Amino acid sequence: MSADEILPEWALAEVDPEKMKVLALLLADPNPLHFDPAVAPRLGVAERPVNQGPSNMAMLVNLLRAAYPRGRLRRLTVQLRGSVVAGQSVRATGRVTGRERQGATETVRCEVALEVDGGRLVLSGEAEVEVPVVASG
Amino acid sequence: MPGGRYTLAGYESWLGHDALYSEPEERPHPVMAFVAAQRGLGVTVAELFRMWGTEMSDGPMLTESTLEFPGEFRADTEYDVRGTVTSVVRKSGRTLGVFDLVTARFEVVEPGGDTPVAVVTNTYALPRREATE
Repeated sequence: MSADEILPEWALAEVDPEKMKVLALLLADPNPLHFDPAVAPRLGVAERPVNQGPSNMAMLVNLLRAAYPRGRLRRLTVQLRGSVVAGQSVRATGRVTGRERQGATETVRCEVALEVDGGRLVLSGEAEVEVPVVASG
Repeated sequence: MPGGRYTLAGYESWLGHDALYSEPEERPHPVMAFVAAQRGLGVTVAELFRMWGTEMSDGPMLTESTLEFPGEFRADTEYDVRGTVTSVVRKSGRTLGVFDLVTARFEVVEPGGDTPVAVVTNTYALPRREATE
């Protein structure tokens, strides 16, 4: 992919509240917004459990890993701009903004974003992926 | 911050992939470095926010995060986790009122080493309901 090329989209039809429960355990995150379906409506935050920020970040990582299966993520910076709740569909998109060759590898710079139903932006950021250069000829 | 140690067990790495919508493989999902930073710090998330004068019930929020991988983060490997606060900026807004933006840098380092395999830099918005700007 050259600079300004669009990465293949990564999409999820429905965010699964069961995965939030496992991630809450892995993170040791006691916030019930992520696992107790009664809490988010009671607080007026959302109608369903709220997905963890690191899970939303992972969707951008998944986008990059699918685009560069032999690549290695070197850096991802994200701004968290909104919430994703259970049952929503999400769409991760990205665009190559630059490349830098260093010997047998190339650093690919990308802009990335995560949107929920209806196109609302919930995450935006930049990433660098180190990709092996395939010898030509 | 006190700091501590963390080992991502192989089965936790598998569960991490599955929980993060990723096909399990030998290498941990990169976002598990965030888990390592949070779990290995030597205090719980609630204790961390309490150190910064905020309770979980106040609604602290993660507003920005950076994952960096100078090395390779592996499962079944013990790491030291070190954390430092790098900046505190007071702000005010319509939704949160007065709040502090606290940025903390967490390094995941092989024991005895100096170079981190992973660095997680998080910025949190901590509401300061009692404060004025």
